Amino acid sequence: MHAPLAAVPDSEDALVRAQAGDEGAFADLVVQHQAMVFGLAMNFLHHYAEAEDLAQDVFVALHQNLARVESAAHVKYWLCRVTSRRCIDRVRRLSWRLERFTGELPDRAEPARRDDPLLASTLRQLVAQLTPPARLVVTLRFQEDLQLSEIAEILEMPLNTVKSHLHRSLETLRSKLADRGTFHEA
Amino acid sequence: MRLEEELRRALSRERPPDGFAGRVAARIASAGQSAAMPASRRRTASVGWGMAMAATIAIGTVSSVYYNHRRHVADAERVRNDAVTGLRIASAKLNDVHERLLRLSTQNERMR
Repeated sequence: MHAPLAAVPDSEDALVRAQAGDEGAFADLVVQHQAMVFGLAMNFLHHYAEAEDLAQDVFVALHQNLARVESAAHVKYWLCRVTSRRCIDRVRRLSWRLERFTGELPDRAEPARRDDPLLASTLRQLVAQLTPPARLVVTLRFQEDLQLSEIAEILEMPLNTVKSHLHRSLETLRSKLADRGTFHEA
Repeated sequence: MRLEEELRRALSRERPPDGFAGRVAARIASAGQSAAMPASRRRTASVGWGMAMAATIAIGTVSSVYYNHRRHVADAERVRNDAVTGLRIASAKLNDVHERLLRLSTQNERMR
């Protein structure tokens, strides 16, 4: 049983066609979910090339496991779960390389945002310093707006562990931001 | 400002580099589908696979060149953003120093 993540209306049709061997429909699925998968990988790994490689791996795996996917909502759940697992695996395998990138942070191709760029960059740096499980919890919570119960199911963690990771991470972030004097909560 | 809202902004979804879906398709095409094919069909399909591989290599090469180009653009963007951020910080500090100097000079005048 998987978490009831919201389905995108058109995805159901794309999924059925992709399962029937329609490569165009599979490409539609990739386009629909690529920002989520690449975003999770990028927010976790903080390395552009590694994030793209991991995201490609995830979609190749989805193609190989399409028959097991039950619904459009399950696609999102499946992708979150596999991306999270692969992020953990990759950060273990490449920790010596990725360490270097947690300090400087990432070359984002997106246009500059209207928000405070310094605060966003500082936050990404601080999130990168969290432990891998805590980083995943924070990323799934704030990138994908998932409920804690959904995160618990995706990461196969007890709900209380998820709550504690999130609580401690937010405390750590607040305290580090306060130390830097860059953020005052209203 | 609430930390949660700032985190949502900082950790938003991100579009992968252009041509991502094409590179995924190329990887799927080259992911050893021949294992699933019966032996009798392999010979017939070998020419087709050769062409598909050639097309994959061509797509891969073009994607790689384009990807490197995008990387350079992204690097330039990052350097520009860093420079802007640096200038903002420097400007804020200069303003701060300026205000302090003004305050000191006002105090000095009052003491006189």
